Amino acid sequence: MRSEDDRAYVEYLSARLPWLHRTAYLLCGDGDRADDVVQMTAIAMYAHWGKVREAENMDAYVHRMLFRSFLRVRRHAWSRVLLLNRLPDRPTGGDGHGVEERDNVLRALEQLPKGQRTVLVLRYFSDLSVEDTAAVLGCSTGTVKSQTTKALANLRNLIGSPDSLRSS
Amino acid sequence: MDENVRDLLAGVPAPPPTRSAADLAQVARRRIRRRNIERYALAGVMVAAVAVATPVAVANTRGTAPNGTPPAASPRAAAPITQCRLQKVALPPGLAEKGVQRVEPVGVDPSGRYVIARTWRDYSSPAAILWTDGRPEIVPVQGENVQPAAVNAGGLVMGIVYANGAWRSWVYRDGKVTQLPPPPGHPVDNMGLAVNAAGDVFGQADTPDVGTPDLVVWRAGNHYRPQILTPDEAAKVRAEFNNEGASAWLLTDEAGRVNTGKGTVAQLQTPPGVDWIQQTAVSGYWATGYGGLRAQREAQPGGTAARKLPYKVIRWDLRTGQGAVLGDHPVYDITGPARSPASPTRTSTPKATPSVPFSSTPPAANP
Repeated sequence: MRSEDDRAYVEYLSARLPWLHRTAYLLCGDGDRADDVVQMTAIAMYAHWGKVREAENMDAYVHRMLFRSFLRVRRHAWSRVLLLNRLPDRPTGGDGHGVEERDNVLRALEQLPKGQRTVLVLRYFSDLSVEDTAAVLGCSTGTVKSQTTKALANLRNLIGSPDSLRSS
Repeated sequence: MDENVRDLLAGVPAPPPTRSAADLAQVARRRIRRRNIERYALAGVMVAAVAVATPVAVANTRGTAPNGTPPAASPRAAAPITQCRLQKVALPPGLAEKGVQRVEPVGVDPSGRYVIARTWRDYSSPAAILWTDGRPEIVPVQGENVQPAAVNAGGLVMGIVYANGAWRSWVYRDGKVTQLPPPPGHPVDNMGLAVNAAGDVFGQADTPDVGTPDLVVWRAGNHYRPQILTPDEAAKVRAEFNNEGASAWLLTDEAGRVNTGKGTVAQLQTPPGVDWIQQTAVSGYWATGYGGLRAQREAQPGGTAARKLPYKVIRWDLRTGQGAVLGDHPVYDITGPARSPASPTRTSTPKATPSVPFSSTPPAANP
């Protein structure tokens, strides 16, 4: 990579790092995995910096890389270890102990199906359009819309604020 | 409305990134530089292999050379592995034409007869390769990102594939691919993690509504009907599978670091003769990888000269963290249990050193 490209890469990475890490954290729900996702994304960005720079929507392009990195981290044995050494947590149901959990948005996100959680993060945290979200996820815009509606409904139920969330 | 959701997500307390952009960029530069060197080196070897049937080097963890003998009647009767020897095997034809840039062996059965690898084309993985006594074949699984995960001593390969928007597991034996059905109520991802000598598959299956997947076993003797495991059952089944799937030991992207599977990350030691190392696989008490000398690497950046890089193949004993150089081939990746039920290392008391905080608990015995 030429030095000016390298400089531009580092500048972009520096500017977007908090945002990338936060997006990864919302997707993973785990700081260490978020670090891994961001590192893999940084490597992918470096390897394809020419394409990133020329992309019509750089942030959307990088999001696609971030999402692929997220999938790779998920299927990597690292996540298997965590899963194998932490037996499945089952939902506690309405036993009264869930009230505090429902106040925790992250906890609620963790309980959403992965597709719904991803759509929420990409659309409402990363501010991607329906079309860009569909491109990142490799699905139709209709799927994004329906997943969004379901995700909002589920999130509303999980955090117990029926008036604060409405499907747009 | 939308703003409420944005505010909620923005308000989630998130830890800060542990690395600066400069650190991330530095790692990216190193990784891409190393990848380019390996790509040049392996591309050269692969082209040669395809064109003139020159073999590429992979490792065999057996003490004897592979031969055409049929599979052992009992996989557990495999001879103890007493030494490692590098061996060359051929690549399947046509890989270069399909754009494959890298072949990465990811597993070997306890007897050493079967080796599995995945191919890499940029960030995709179009195919899985199985070598039987050195003879290669492409595992005919349909879908994206076909990845082998493990192979047992009977030559049964288990892996995962991304198809129709979800990860699914499969097994392959004697030319036949069998898709493992998702357990009822688990229509999302399911992934096999380990295969035992009987061909049973241990893995995980996601549910639509629960953040953590359930553990599941697909029994070969039960037509691979999935069985969701309770925590008690899961503990027993894990013991059954022992470490064959290597899922208890994990790699990170950082050179020389290995996750113990018990919540700690340990640093592998750099053996004499090299000053950089890269681990590539772990299984049971062993890790494998490669390394070299920085001065030699930097003196031959890229190009065909990279083929001459004297990579060292290294095996580490995870109980001590110490590494031993096995050979000088430009191998990218090897893996293997490097142990057998009769191996004395499994019953000896592991030595833990302060610098390598691996568990000293030996694995459960095979049933």
